[in-house]
Amino acid sequence: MQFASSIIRNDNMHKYILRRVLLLIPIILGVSLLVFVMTDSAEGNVLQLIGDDYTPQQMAELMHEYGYDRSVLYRYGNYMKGLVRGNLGKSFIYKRPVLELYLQRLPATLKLAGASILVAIVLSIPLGIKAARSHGTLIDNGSMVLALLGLSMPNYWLGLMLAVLFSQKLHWFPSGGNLAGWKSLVLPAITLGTGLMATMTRTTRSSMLDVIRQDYLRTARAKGVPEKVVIRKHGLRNALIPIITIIGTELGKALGGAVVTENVFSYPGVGRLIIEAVNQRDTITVTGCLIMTAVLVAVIQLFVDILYAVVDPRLRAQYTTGRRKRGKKQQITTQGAVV
Amino acid sequence: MKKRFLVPLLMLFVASLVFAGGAKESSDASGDSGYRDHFVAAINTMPVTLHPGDNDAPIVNDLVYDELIRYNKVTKEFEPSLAVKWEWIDDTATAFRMELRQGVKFHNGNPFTAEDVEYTLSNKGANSNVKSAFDHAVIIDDYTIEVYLKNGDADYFSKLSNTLYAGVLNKASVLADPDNGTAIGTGPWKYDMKGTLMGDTYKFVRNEEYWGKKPITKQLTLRYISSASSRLIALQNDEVQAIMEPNAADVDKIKNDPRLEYHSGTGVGPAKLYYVGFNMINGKGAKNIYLRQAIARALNLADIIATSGDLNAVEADGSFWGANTAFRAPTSAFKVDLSYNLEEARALVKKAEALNGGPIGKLTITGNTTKAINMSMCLVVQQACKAIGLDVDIEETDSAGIKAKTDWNNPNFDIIQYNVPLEDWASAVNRMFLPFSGNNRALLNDDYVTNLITKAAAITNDAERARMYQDLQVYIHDNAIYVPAYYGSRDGAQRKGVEGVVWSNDGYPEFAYATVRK
Repeated sequence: MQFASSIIRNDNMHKYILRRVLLLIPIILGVSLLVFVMTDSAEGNVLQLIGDDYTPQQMAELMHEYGYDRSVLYRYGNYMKGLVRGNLGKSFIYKRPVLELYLQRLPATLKLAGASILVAIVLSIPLGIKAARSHGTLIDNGSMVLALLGLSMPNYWLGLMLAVLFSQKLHWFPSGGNLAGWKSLVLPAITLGTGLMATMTRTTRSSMLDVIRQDYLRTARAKGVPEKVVIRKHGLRNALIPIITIIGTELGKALGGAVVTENVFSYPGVGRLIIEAVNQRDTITVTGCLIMTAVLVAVIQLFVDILYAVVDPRLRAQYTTGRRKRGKKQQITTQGAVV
Repeated sequence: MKKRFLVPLLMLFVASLVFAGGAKESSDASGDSGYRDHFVAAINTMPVTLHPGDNDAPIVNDLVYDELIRYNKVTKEFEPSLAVKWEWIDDTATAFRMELRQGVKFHNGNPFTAEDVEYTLSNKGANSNVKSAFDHAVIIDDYTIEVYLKNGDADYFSKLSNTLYAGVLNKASVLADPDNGTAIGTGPWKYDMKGTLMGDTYKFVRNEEYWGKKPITKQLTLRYISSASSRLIALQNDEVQAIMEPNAADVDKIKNDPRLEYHSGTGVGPAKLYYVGFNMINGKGAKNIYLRQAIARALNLADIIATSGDLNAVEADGSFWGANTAFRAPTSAFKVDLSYNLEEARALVKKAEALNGGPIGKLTITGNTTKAINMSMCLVVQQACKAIGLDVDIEETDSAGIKAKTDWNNPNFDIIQYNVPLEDWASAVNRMFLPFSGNNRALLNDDYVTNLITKAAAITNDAERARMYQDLQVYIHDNAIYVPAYYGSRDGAQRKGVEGVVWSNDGYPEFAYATVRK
């Protein structure tokens, strides 16, 4: 971990982090604009839901108050003015600040995303390694069929089946909600983790297959290094970059895309909040939550980038030697030296 | 993989489980009373604010707040609640005096006084049903108040019996904290704000200082579970002890399960009237009474009920509101026969075409088709129209879309499928027949109807009011502006050993005194 701290302290890394943070600005602008325009294009708006009993005059006043008598870009501009001041707005439906609503739900989503990624890692990496080592055998084909199954099973179906089996029949876990502590997390995490596991198993297998044929692995074996060490130290370490990439991507997906799982298990996360807000045309809540999710995903990607350097000495050398110059291409040897 | 990666990974996993875990909250906690301390119910509706008057799903209202006057659904009589005496002090239903209960305390310990009543009826967020009629109040003393209304409203006491319209708030707490102060009531349950997550879980603790009958259970939790299947699994698993509205397909399963009981809430009154309405502003039927009557006569209400999935639905008999109100018109009062008859319907289509000066052309029907119950009704109407030679397109949309399509300034539909909640009091019809009202989806703006309703509201003589409301029903029926289809029901299920849940058909189930034996 001292590698990581030395990397983060490095000037080059500071610049890199700053660049990534600045990149968030167009992402936030894009996401928020898209949400505003898309919500506006749907029939009906949130004020029509709020002012159900209003006379046309009262409705006109309400529309004027919230800028719904002007273009969507005007409302978007107003929203962005607030956002610059750190204000994500106030939900039309819940009558509460969106940031407060988001932060109330975030811990549940983080727990679910974290647990599902752990489920996926614990299952997929050994499975992927085993499949690669047994390339072309029954184990390999079986692993790939398993991965394909994980990819093909829709979360809502798998979730319901797990609930029927483990909750309704066996009474091992609650069928939903977040009131039974860690037990509440098990079924949603397995549901979400199964899909993630499938992608990660396939990536681990193909990455390991690439590495397993390299000369340095053959050399290690020739030197009498035990097979376990060859695979763990020389094989897996070198195959980790694509695996870390896919973990980062899948974690981002889990954070933003747990909507179905959260709904099946009535799990009180951000995804469920967004779905309810979409149903109610609560643009402010949807936009605020999506902006926060985009920021969170970008932070995770940044963390993944830092992790690359931790596991890969070649990349670490780039950051720690400070020899990389803008506009000057570098050549990296397989031994990690920068030329 | 090196141990330095594996060990932190495993620690992280264990830590996450511990972090996620905490103390197990179970409904099994038991006291010494022979009942469990904690009751959990699964609801299918989502309260979103802490203001009793600003909640589309006021299921929590009766737990936290008290009404001024209680309406007994069985005896059909008003009973004292926070008000112990009430009477009109004029003949035009514009002023009344109330004597209030003494010694009542809000959840924050503040005493309940006449100032709180005035504030409840007039505050910024007050429900429009009471606020729009309220003019001013004169506080005689802490426990006596006179309220003056802008116009006569003979049903105002009925409105005061509904916590959605007039759940009594504590003025001091709302002024001190506008966001959370509205969570303070005088009811038998207090919000447990630490455990409550709006839109998901609502937790309550027993109000030990409650002036009325105290609940047996110490803690109450309402969980919002949108999927009916998930609600049933939670009930079977004893995670919850009662659920609202199971799937119709699961009702037999519930009835056959020795651990469960099914409750339909029948006999109390219908929950909602499902209807077909015609766009009275610019729809093809707006100026063509024969077209409206033709479609009304083509509808076989039994078909609509059969496809609704509502096992306790009752065919609407031409009345437009609750089965129990004294103001209903008998079906014999209707002058036009609009009962199901395809031959007559086809003859009416010919008349409609003659009035139109040619074929009617394509019609559109809309409804909140995200719900199967609405979509199936739209399909039945479509098929019925096809049977009499009318071509109908279904325009699918959701609740927000409906409101856009029924915009008073620019409506965009010919026929609408919708529903209206029913209440026993007569002026509940305002919401369906008065202009700009939320459930008036036919967009009816008819001077005759408006005048009848306004006059009836300002008369305290029940016999005269009844005559006016009956005239109104005959007019609506004979002109086929709305075609009532069926009275929908509410149902639910509970575990054996559960006591005290009121499975009301004309409102949400009441969980205030719900408890379960150990």
